[in-house]
Amino acid sequence: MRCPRCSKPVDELAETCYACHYSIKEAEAFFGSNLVQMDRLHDVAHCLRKRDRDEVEDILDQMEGRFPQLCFFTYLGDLQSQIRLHELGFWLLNHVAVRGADFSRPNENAVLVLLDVNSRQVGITLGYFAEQLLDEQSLHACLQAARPHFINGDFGPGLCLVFKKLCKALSRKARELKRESPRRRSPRHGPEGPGKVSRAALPSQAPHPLLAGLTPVYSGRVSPLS
Amino acid sequence: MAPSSPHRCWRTLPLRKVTGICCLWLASMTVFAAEEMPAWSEADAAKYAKPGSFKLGGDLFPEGDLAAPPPGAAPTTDRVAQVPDAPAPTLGNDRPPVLTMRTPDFAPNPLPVPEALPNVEGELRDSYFALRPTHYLVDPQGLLTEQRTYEVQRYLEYHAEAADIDIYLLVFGLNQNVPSDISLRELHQRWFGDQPAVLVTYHLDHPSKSQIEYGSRISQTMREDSLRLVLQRCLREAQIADEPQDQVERFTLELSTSLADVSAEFRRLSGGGFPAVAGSAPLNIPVEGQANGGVRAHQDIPDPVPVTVEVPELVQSGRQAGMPLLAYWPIAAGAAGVLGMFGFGGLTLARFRRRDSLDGEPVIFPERELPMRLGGSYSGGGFVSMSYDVDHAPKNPD
Repeated sequence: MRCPRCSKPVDELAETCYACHYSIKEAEAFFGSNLVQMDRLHDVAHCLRKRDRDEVEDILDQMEGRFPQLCFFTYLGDLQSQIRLHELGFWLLNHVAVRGADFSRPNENAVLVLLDVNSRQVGITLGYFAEQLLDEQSLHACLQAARPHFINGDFGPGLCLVFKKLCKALSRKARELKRESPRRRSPRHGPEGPGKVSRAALPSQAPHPLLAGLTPVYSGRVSPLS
Repeated sequence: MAPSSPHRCWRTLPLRKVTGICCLWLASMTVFAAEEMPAWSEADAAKYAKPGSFKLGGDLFPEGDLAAPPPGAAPTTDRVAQVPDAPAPTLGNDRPPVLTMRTPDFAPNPLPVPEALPNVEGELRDSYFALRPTHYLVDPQGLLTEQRTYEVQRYLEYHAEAADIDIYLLVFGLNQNVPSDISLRELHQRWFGDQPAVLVTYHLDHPSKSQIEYGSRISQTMREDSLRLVLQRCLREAQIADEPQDQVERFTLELSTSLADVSAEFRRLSGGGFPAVAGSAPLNIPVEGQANGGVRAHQDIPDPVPVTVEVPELVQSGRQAGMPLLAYWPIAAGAAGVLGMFGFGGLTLARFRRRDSLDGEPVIFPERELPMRLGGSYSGGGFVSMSYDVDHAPKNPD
């Protein structure tokens, strides 16, 4: 794991970055401590046309159907130069409430794709749960595949390709975990192990809404994202 | 509603009466309202009896001589053919009848008079009779058109594949004759031996001079009148057409059809079939300088090499038992195996492609303990980014 500010490696359970002492408090001091709301496909930069938006929404629906535990968000922004994409993703996943999102999918299971049309950067921020499923190499391959589309300004097809590649990476990870589950029976694994379940069994796994820890309340100082 | 209904009577009967009365009244008015019609007088008759005085006006019937060209018009070379059955002028109009038919002054170019073809001697004779033909159609002088040559050649090849008796057609000109010292029977024996083939000499535009040589075996077995009947049928069929090129085609088609009867009759009389001689078909090797056909030396034709194929005993037993499916079961099993492998491979590939697709079955990951870092409740800042600016090359995280 790396620090969102200095990109130096950070150990688990570290309160702050060993190199730059960055933490969520510094992020809240910059972006605000309030919770913000956003759509699943939040296009602040208005760089998606209707057709592209519909295609991305379809892909997101399919992704959520394929991976019932995960949630996938997209933020397309026109950020100021002092806002860094790494820090924004770190803060956003800890303070965002997505409109219409399922309570069974907390932000720690989120995969957030960010794109800044000003700095011409695209990135993916992961929650804690998603971090264990997707490594940096897979994420880099996803972005690398879609980079030609972003260069040409085809943000819709580029985002679709990113999510398709993410789907492949997650499916591959699921197969790896399924192969490892009979051999490695450890307390860290779930009681059932990875596998495919029927859609009818999914609602029973939904946690209590309070466990999600997200309330779509807008309070505190005004966020620069709003 | 029924016709006898009183409701109908009191409505329809008065209407019929009124209609009848009206018809009678109109008829009486027509009879009694006749007026005196104008009639021709003697002066009018004398006036219009003069030639050219009957003017109808308009452009359809201009004044003057209709047969003469209009002034200022370019002289035309069209010929005006008078229709012999044209109606006579009436009402004193003694002009020449206008119902004429213009025929264009078009005379088709006369067909070129064919030059007298040389006698079949010397080199031309050798091209016909020196060597065995390599094509079914032998036309070294190019008497047939290119298209007709192609059609006849293709048809003779098709006939050779489908029929028992091959046809070798030698095309000559109208005034050409087969040399007197050439015996078609000997020629047939020298070229084909006992092979089932007929040698035909066809004279273009004079099909009645044609001859058909069947070979000694067929001639001795079949009755002479039946063979002569074949030639007559071919000649009758050829003479239906007017064009010499069409006659050749009709002659060939009829000969092909008739030879099927000859073949059947020969089988019946001889009690067997024709000898299966390998390499009886011409080699179809073009000879330089002969576009439409040619000849090839006997010594140039390679003898057929006997090919020995070892057939498994099981296949032989199956063939002898008359069970073709059993005889070829190894091939069928192999084909089924290959098809099965392809099917299995296709299903595997489809499943392989589907396992990573978006519309696959839902996947549930195992739950794990999630240690927090940097104070984040849901995310510790795990992040990968890339610039899509053209000037910045992407960096690999490793």
